[in-house]
Order: sequence, then C-alpha cells, then structure tokens
Amino acid sequence: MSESMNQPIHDPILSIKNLTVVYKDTLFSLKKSRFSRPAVDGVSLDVPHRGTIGIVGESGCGKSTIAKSILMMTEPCGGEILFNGTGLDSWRRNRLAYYSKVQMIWQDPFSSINPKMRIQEIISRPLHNFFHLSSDEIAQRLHATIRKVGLTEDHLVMYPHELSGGGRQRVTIARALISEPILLIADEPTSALDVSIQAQILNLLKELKQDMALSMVFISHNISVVEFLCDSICVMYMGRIVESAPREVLVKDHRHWYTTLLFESLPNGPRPKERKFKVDLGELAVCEKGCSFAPRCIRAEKLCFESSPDLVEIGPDHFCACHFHA
Amino acid sequence: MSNTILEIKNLRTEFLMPNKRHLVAVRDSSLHVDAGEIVGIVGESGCGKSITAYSVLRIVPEPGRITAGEILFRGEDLLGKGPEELREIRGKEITLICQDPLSSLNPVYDIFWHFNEIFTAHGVQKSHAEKIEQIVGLLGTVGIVQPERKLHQYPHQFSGGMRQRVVIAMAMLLQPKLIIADEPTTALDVTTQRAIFDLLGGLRDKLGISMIVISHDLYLIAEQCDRMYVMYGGEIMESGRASDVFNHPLHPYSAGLMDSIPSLSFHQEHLNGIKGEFSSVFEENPKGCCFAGRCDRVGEECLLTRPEMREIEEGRFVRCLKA
Repeated sequence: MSESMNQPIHDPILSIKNLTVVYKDTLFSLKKSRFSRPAVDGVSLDVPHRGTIGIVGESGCGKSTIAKSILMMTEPCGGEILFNGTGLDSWRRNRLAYYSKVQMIWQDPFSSINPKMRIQEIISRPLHNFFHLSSDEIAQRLHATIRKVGLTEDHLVMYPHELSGGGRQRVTIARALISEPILLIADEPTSALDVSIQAQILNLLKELKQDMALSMVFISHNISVVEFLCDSICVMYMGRIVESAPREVLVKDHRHWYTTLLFESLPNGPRPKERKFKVDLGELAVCEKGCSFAPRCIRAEKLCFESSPDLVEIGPDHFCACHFHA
Repeated sequence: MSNTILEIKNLRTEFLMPNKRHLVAVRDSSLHVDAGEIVGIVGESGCGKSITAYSVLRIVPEPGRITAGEILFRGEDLLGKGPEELREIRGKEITLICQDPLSSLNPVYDIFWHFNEIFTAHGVQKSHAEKIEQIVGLLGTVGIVQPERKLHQYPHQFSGGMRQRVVIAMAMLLQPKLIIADEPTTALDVTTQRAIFDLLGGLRDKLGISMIVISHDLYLIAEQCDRMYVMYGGEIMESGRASDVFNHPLHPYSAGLMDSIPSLSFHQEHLNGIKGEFSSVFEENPKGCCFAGRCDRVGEECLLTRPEMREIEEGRFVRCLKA
C-alpha cells in the first residue's frame, strides 16, 4: 500500500510552534495603515499520533487560518510547523508526498467538489495525482473507500448535484481518505448540514478515525460537536489560544471566562438556569495592549486592559490565559 | 375578539414541477399564534417550514401555489386579498426576518435608506427629523451603540450580528403585530445567536409582538419558544408546549432530532440520530406515514395508514400511530 505506512511515525504527528500569521493589506485596500491584528498570534499545539485536537472559537478568531497554514495555503510570518518530525519548509519541496499524507475536508460540500465531474472521478482524483497505480488497483481502492463512508456503487456514476448535502460531504470524506492519509484536517465539516445529517457524519468520522488510525485536527464553532469527537480542545479568541485542556477537563472545569461564555451560549432546551453572562456583543472593541477579551469580559479589571495574560499551566495539561481565571 | 393573531387551517402548498409532478411542500398543516406568543417551527431542510412562513406572507416562489386551506390574520383571510391589500400588510402588520443577514441588506445604500424605504412604501408622512429620531431610538433598542453615527454607514461596515440587528430593527419599524423569523441565526456564531435571541425575547416581553421562529435546532426552539411545531415532509408531526415536547417527545422524529445533537452533560460514544435522509413527497395522497422509511418504531400499519393528528392531552397533538 502507500509508502507512508513504511515510514516510522513520529509522535506528535503534527507540532505547531509559536505560529504567527498576518494578512497584509492588499494593494487596493481601502483601510491602509490600520492597526493590523495578526490572524494567528503565537499559537502552539501538538497533535498526538491517533489523537484528535479540536479548535473552537467564533468566526474571525483564526481557526481556519491555522488549517490553511498546516495545509501550506498561507505563508506564516513566524513560528514553525513540523509534520512527522520534519518542518513544512522541507515538505514544501515535496508537496505531493505531503498532501498524500495530510488531507482536508471543507465546510461547504456544495462548493468543494467539481460539479462537472462524476463522483468516481472526484474520489479517485488523489490516486491519480499522488501514486502510479494500475486501473485495477484504483477501482479496488475506490470501492473499498466508498463502502467505508457509506456510499454505494450506484453513486459512483452520479454527478454532485444528484446528491444531498450529507451525501456530498461523504464524497469529500471519501476523497480525503482514499490516499490513506495519516492526518486529516476538518474545517467545520458539519456546519452546513442539518442536525440529523450532522449526527451521521460525526458518527462516521468517529468510526473512520478509529479504523484508519487517523490523527485529526477538527475545527468548529460548536463546542458540543468538538466535545463529541475530540480528545483535547483548544479555545481560540482573536488569534490566540485562551484555554486548552483534555476534553473532560474542559467540559467540567473550564476556567477562562470566554470558554464559559461559549458554553452558556449553547441552546440547551427549556431548562432555566442561572446565567453568569449577559451576552451582548455591542461593539467588538479591540484592546491593543491588554487581554483581547477584556472589553467583553465580566471580570475585566484595570490590569486586563494593560497587560496581556500568558498561557500558563493551571492543572495537568490544562492551560489558561487569564489574569483572573475562575 | 379572540386572542389569536394568526390561524392557519389545513394549509396546502404545492409546486408544479416541470415533469408535471406535484411536489407537496406543505400538506394539511394547521397552526395558530396567540397574542404575545413566540411559536417555533422546527424540522430539517426541505420539511416545509420556510414555505409555511412564505405562504403566510403570500410570497411562495414560483412555481408554488397555495391550493387549499385558510390563513386568518386577525380574523381576515389573507388568501382572499389582492396584491394592493397584501402590500399594506407585508412590512407593516407582518414582517419577515430572513436567514442570511449578509444578503438581506442592499450593499450600495446606507442604513438610513433602508429604513426610509419602508416609510415611503407605506406612505408614512413624517418629517426628516422625526424619521431620524424614530430610527435612532429603534437602533438603540436593538443594542447598536452610537446609533446616530451608524445611520449613514453602509452594510459592509457592520459585522454579521450587527447586520441582523439592523434587519430586526427594520422589521419592527412600523410596529407589526407578527414577526416571522426564518432561521435568524443560522449564519451566525453561537454567542451572537444567544444575543439575538435575548433581544427577540426582550422585544416580545416589552412590546408584546407575536413571533414565529423557524429553526432546525430543537434545543434552540425549545429554549426560546412558548409552543412549538415539529414538521416533517410538509406535515406537522407534533405540537405542544415547548417544554412538554422537549421533555417528552411523543413522535419518533422529534426524539431523533434531539438525539442528533451531542450532549455536553454526558459524553456519548455514538449519536443515535435518525437514519437515512429526507426525500420529497410527490404523491397526491400518500399511503402511510411519510416518516416510515426512517423510523425505528415503524410497524406494518405505518406503511398502510396515513396517521391523522390526534390530541393526546389538551393542546398536545401528535401525528403518529405508535405514540
């Protein structure tokens, strides 16, 4: 099978160190010389082999930028990313080998597959790109893969418009898995789907993760989805990780006020409960010097507006960046 | 006069497809909204929840037609109204908040223009200063800071949540009796969603506006609404007080929707959702229950008899033979 299996697998499989990404103003940008906030600001995280890391946060917090940096789709300004022990700078010279081991699933199953190609062409495309296989081998792997994701042989000759959103997302998952990657990046794979289809896709990803020994970076704005799938969770706000912990710890004992806000925002049915936060976005004020969450935080004091808190370990594997954590 | 603002009786909305088949988007649906009440409609995409709302405003897109039923708004049948009369009602008595705040504002006009258009369309005679005063007051109510400054800004200068607040303010401008919110927070973050629903709930408490809220998230509907209707395949499957439906779902579909959402209170290894996918119902009078193909409690009778809406207890209805 693929040569990736023969290489020793480094643990952690992916290691991000102090990653910083700044999007520069374009030539025709209307707002020049504005205070430009880095999209990702000094983020470090490790994805253990066969582990799943979840990244949660609101839109604009930089979670998709991390995915793009891992996939070499955006140029980082600082820090480094190591995949299987080797820096991305070396992998850049051998992109085909990299993408055969690192694959991605995108948010919108309607725009991430080519409407003019049949499903079998879409799914087998990575095999043509990465490996030199005979047509028999390709057909064999194609059939094995579609069975894994719950599609049937009938789907192979269809076009994307004949499938529903859930069906298309299964196609993108099959396309990502056919080259037998060892790391899968999933950027909001279920946010465009109905809740019932979301449940099916989440179950599928969980099974595949176990069967195929996948490591995964799972990005979502919904903390309950991340909790279902991931071993450990990073909460991001304005380009920084504000809290990270193993799943059980983060759910039961979250300390950062932003994490509390995320949990309190989830709809949870008609159970009236004491709410610590009145969620009011008002104006998203940017605090240049201090903690970026301070303008929205209920516990913000003078110190929060003056100095930015560092990410410190407050328990085993539990990191939190807050001056006054709970 | 009764307390009911809107009553829909046995509504049926069909789409005549190019292949001469009729797609029945809404079938035999009855619902009502009382004064000062928030009513939720929940279901998957394609279940007919948006078309029900569009039918009320008579804006069902072509080739859709309302073929049966009655829609009584404060006792008057909307289906008998002409285009002029409907124009009076839309935007003034009943207003709509659309799903996507990014596309419901015109990018080439400023915020004031959007409000002024409503005044013009409904022939409201007011001086410029009076208009400004009312709009600024309203923008303040929906939680926009420094509304005077925002009045002459353009939609792209606002975030998604702020735009949805502007749309809500527009929906309230002429003090409507009923607001229909069609998935008002689907494109937004969970925190913004929470803020928008806090706002909508507050408006109901303060001004007594009735609302219909449409969503696919049963948790959200159960939390925010007084009563809810669960729709599937164009039919209302279950209705009742939101807390009753949430705590004791009678229909297997409602139960399946709830099981689809991962719970934070205990960790699950597997989500017991609903198997299969929704497919449109074309038959004129289908035999059997339209959920039978995906139901785990399905029996032989479910495939043969079409279940009728039954009242289990007062105000609690279910369309299932097994419930």
